[in-house]
Amino acid sequence: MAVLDIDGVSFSHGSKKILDGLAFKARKGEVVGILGQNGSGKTTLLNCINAEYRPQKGAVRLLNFSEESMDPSHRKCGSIDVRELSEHERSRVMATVEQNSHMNFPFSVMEVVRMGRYSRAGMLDENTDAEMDIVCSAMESTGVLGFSDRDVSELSGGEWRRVMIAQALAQEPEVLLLDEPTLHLDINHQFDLMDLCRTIVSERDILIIIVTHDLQLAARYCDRIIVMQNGRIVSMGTAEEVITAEMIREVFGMKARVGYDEEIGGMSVFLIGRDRGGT
Amino acid sequence: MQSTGLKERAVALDRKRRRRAAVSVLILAAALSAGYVLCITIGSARIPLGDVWAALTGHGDWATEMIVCDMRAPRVACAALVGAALSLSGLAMQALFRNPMASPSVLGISSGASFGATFYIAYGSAIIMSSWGTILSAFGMAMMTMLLVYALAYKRAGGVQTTMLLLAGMAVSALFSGFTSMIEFFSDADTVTSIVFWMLGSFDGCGWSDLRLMAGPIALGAALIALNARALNLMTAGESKARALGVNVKRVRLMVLLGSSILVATCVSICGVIGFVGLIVPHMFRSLLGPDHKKLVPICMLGGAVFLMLVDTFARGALPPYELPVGTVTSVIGAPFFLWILRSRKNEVWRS
Repeated sequence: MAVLDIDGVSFSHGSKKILDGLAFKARKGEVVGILGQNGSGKTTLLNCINAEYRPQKGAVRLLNFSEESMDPSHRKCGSIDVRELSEHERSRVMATVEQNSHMNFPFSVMEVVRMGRYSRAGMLDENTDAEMDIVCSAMESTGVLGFSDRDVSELSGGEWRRVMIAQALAQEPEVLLLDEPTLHLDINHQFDLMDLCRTIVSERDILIIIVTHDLQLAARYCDRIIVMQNGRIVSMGTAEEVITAEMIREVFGMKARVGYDEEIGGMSVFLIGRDRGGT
Repeated sequence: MQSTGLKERAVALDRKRRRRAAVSVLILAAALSAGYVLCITIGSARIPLGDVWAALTGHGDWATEMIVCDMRAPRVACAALVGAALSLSGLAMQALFRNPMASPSVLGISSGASFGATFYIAYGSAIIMSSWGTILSAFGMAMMTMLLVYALAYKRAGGVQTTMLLLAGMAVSALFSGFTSMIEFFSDADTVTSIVFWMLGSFDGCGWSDLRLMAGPIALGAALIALNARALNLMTAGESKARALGVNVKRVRLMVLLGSSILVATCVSICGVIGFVGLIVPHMFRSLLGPDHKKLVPICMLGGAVFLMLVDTFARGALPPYELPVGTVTSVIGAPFFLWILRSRKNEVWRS
């Protein structure tokens, strides 16, 4: 089984320790949510997974990932450190949607989404029907197909976010990393996006890791949730196991009512207010 | 059902963009060939179109044939080639620096290259007199200047800040102009005159031998950039994003820096500093056709060729009997244009 292995990852920025011996495994076919407050190290963790940062200790490994994404020398490797992969291989295995990104030049939406095909299609077969189908269906699934010709520098924050997600889908990754994907999105698009994540996971059997601080969405849509605080994992498990009033009070300092909701068919979180200790 | 309609529309719109680019290539190619013949007719002595054609095809009288074939034809061709090279290097730098204000003259790369060339003319040519020496010396300095400005202005996230870029370019430019002046100060009067005139930027006296000399390095530089046209699109999204999308950033950056240094150095060694071409032409076509570098590479080369050919002809024919150095004309057009972009594209330029 293909597994992403985060093996004792520590990362410091100067003297400040941001990740402290983080360890967990995630397998293809699940949606993993990473919860935590600002500064808990969530985004740094994503940057270690996609090899943008080099952890001082530990490593992120791919176990038994599909071989067609790899260069010949890396095939038949049961376990491989993400930092050993070339940019080309890595972009075929994983895609990242960052929290902040912008374009300085006025590309069209479709041109930006097509950038996701860089490591899949050659310069000459970029405009074939098959390629167009992949690009268009990626745009359709995030609802940006209707404005494919618009200049990306004129988009709203939410529209731009959906374009970036379409670009990541066009990469056809096996691991999809989303950093606060619902930020700036309208409520309906938030739910569309999370539905989309579930659909992709079941259809393409990929691993999605979502960094978020939205408890409600995490509770409803993630198979497993990891809660981080000060660069460590404080809790890990299914939504029922992890999302508890006690955890929310300890990690987020909020008073909350948590329960199983018949209509949702899952956990519901109702935030009552700031927990001021005692009252 | 509705979604298939949307898809068809999206595909059709994208195809339209590509068709528009293809049509532009055709128009520019036609303009280049027609303009080439027309530009030859203009000069201190006006030669009728019919006579030019006769001379080019080898049926003209001896005097006209000499002016047309040995003087004007190579000169206009040099202007076109240098225009193509300078626009392409500007386009590449703008993508690499993620900033529409980057160009060889604004970043001080031209100053660096001309220092390299001057140095060779003043001291190196005593050892081996060779035009290749000038080009190599100019190339070395162009590459060094480029790396210097890049290191000064690039910040990891968000690319290059315009303020930092312009200031770094200004400082580097001043530094190398200072060096060049120092060389002039210690040179004899004849060398100074030739250096000063060459620095103004002119195609005066460019012949077939110059064209032959430039063709090789310019083809090499252009190939280094053209091969990375698609990667340049991704580089404009920032280095970390480009890496995540599968671009070998180190290799692309090196190839493009090398390519544009070769282009600038070659142009500067042959015809001095001709500023702002690399800023005006890419900017014009980016506004018309969008920023896709696969389209812009051929279009900017053709467009740059047409542009500089026309400007040079204007410089030759505007104030007869004088021939203005073309570099002064591009500066007079370019500097206000530069300010106009700074004003009108405020958001784009200052956001990064």
